[in-house]
Amino acid sequence: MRQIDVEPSELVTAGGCVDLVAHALLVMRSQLLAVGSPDPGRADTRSGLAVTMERLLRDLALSGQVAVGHADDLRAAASAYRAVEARAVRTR
Amino acid sequence: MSLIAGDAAGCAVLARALGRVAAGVAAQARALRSCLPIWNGAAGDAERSSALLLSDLLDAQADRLAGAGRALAEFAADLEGAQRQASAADCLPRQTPDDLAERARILAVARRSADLAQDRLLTRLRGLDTLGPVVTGVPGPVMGPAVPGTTAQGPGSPLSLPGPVDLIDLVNSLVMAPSALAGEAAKRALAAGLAARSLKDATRTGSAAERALARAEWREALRNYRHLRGSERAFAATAGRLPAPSWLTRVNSPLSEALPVVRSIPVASVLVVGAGTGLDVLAGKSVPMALTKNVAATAAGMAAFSGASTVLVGAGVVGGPVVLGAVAAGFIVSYGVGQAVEHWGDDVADAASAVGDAVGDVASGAKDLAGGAGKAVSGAWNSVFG
Repeated sequence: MRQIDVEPSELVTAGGCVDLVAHALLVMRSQLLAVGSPDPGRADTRSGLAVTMERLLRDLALSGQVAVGHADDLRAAASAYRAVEARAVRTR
Repeated sequence: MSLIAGDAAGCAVLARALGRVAAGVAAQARALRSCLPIWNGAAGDAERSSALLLSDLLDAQADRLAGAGRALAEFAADLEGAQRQASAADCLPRQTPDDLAERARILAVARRSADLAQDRLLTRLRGLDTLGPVVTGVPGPVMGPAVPGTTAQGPGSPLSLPGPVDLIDLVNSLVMAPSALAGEAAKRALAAGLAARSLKDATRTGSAAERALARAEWREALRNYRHLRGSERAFAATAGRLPAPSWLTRVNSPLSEALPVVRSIPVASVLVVGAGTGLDVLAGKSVPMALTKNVAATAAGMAAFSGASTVLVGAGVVGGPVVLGAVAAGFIVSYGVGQAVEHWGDDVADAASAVGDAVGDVASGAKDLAGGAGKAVSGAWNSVFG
């Protein structure tokens, strides 16, 4: 029988850690949104600053989503391993 | 009020916020690396590589946030200095021509230094890469369902899901497509009928051999004419079977039959552009960017639909797949151009050609269509912003 080399609880813990990262990223994003874009004075600079801010905020949201996806992967893996373990126990 | 426009204090506040967030993101990356689970085997390796990709992503993002913060802090200090210099010049005496000249000189120097500071800020902000290519490298979920709210092609894709306006546009295109295709077939049938009539006249003149050749050509033209009339009837029948309300037909009528420029623009497209622009502005986009995105996307979609329907009717194929093919071409181009303008709005022409290439890969034989989309975007851009 194939050796299972991971504890499901470890996966769940790792999932929780990554979830915290995702949460922190989204909180930071909302903090930046609350500050808003000030007026630097000239139309092209205003536009440049707005575009940069929009991209930075999008990047924060994207990495938050990546982290959420990763945490979900870990939890799904934990469930899968638990199912394999239960089947192994039944087989024995 | 300062003689030089700009909110130096606000820029400084945002610069500090960016610095704090950059430090927070870097700390999250460190925390993620430190809590990587220690286990052996394939599962452990997969987890480590995935988590390391995420932490690299966070590191890169922290650098960009910190870079933006530094650029803005430097700009805020320069702007404040220039504004102080301008205020000091404003307080100088203005009694003699020399006083006025000196005041004007100091003001010009202050304005020049503010302009240079703004140029430096703009250059540095534009130099900050975004995370698009880096994020694309992150593998999608290995197990489990897709995460709700993530992007259309997994967490790594820069594309967002089509919004309500995109879907309304798609449904509207589906409703009006059969009528448009029937119109295209009718136009071609009229031309084919005229050609057949002139060929029939030729069957009565010339030598016997010439008359025989003209008869063969006339029969071929007649077949083409009948086929196009059949296509027109088939598309018209499809349009008649659609459960579309009558008011939608009025919405899909041209803006004005009298003006050649707007004869091919249905009222519905203008409404879609207006609704899309309104929603984008509500979502925080600037008005020029939102307008550019929606005008370009709708114009490109119309050009693609029109190109596809011309090609498909010309090829003589009829039926539901033709309608769906033409609508899908329009939707893919419209949605893709909208996304491209949204993400790379600084260089719309390049964005349009990028979308054109992507569409060319997706829809076989649609290269001309993609080129048309690029031209339509440039045209739309020029017509809005000169």
